[in-house]
Amino acid sequence: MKWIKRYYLIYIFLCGTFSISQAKNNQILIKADSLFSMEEYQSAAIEYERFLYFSDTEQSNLNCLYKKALCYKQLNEFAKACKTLERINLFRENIDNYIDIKRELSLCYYLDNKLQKAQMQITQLKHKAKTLPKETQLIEIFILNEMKRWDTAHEKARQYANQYLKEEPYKNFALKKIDSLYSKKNLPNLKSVEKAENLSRFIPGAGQIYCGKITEGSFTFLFNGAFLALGIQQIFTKFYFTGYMAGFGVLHKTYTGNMARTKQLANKTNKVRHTSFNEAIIKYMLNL
Amino acid sequence: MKKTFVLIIFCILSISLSAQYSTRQRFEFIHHLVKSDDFKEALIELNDLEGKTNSDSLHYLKGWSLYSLKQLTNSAYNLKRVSKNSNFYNKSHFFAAYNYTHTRNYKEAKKILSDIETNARFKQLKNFESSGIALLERNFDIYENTHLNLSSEAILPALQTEVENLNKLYSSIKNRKQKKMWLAGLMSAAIPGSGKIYAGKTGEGIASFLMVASTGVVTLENHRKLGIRNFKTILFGSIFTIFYVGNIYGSVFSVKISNEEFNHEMDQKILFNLHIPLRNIFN
Repeated sequence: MKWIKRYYLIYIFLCGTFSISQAKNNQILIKADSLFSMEEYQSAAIEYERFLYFSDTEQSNLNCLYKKALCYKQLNEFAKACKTLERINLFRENIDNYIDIKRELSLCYYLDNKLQKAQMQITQLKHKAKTLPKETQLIEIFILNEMKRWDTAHEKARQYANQYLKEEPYKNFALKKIDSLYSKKNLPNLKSVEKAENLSRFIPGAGQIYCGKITEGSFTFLFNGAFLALGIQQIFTKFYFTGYMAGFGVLHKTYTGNMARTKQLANKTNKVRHTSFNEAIIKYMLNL
Repeated sequence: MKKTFVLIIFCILSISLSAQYSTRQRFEFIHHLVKSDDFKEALIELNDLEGKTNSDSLHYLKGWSLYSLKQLTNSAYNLKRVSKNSNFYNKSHFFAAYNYTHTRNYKEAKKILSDIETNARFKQLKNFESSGIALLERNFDIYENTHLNLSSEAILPALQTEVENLNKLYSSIKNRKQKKMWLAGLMSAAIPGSGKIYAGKTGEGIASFLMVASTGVVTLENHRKLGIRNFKTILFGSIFTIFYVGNIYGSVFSVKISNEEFNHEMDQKILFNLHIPLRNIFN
């Protein structure tokens, strides 16, 4: 009887200790959730990590890691959000959780400007899920835009509108708008850097005009022409050194400078046009 | 009576457990954050613990996190607060000295190094770091003395390469003749561009020579054919003068820049060689 009592007490003691430890961990989780709802994301992320560190079971790990990643997403620390989401063991998760995690991963990688990784997440998601979540479909369109795959992006944007817009007049209007956004006329008129350079090689300033900088191109043409004329005129008047040095010497400098400027201008113009096109699509698609 | 006693113990235990995590547990968690490279989060936790505890772990972890975030002055301040009783004493103080060295606070770095109470194993490292600081200060006498101590003993394997490297850097610094600004100016006045070649910038020197020479030749041609009072001669003569004077001025400054570049390069190499053994020994 004495031994039974002793074992009984030990059992109660261990159970008590265990249950208190569990309760303490749960308190941390409640605290983390409260901080999350109060938008104190940095503190919430720490509390979620604390819970994960002290937790004996893996029961709430998914939820914690997911919310921790959301905290980092809110803090614009997308690399950390991706790192947190990558810690989730997806093999054990059901399809719904798998979709949620992959959706967030693709979004965070996209926001972190890691387009190929984002696309890889979407490809993996396509293998498991029949249809992509709404947000992921949008991300796929944006990634395709970034990669200048306009045709596929256009097709995906139409599919998106068809799938999510129920009212017929509104849907038709949206489809028309998408078609107009992706129309040949509206697509960013990206300049060929090689072509711009070649133009400037034969006619100084032509590359700048090709990139849309007419004034700059005209001045470059006149400037180079003036030094060429000076060189020729000086040589004709038997000022050989002056013609060679002051005319052609300076022309060489302005000519090579003009080539370098054309290349820089073409790249800059392409970036500006591409960004402006993508922003217009993002703005419209997000408002759908 | 017995039952009551057990019950009281159980209650006390319950109360203590249901309270916040203990300081030890919090430090364990901070260690985990540091290991996961979450230094920002570790610092938030450590700042929260500040005032509640004054342990060496707090100073060490704070200093290490700040060091990892490249906030070297704050890191040094925290690392040097680690007491002798701590297991991290040597690591903390050597890194504090290195952090001060990196931020050019040599006085503080030397003070920390001289105050470190080390065993025989770390004595060599202490001498090595001190010799590195002496070299950074270009104090060759101290460098030779501290380095002599280092060479007289069997050098630690973790230090061998860096000791050799430091010696090579010492030779390069000592054997380099500081270039003179006035000489570069004089050389460029005599032969345009030669001052820049003297400063070690051969390409720039040749380009300057061609520029000045070509404007000079053009001026001469116009002077011979049109006379000194002609507009073209005056124009090209003015351009030549500007280039000629500008080249002398540039040569003087290129010597200054060249000296600064050399010193900067040497300093970076010395700091690199001072850092490597610390990482190898303490990591």
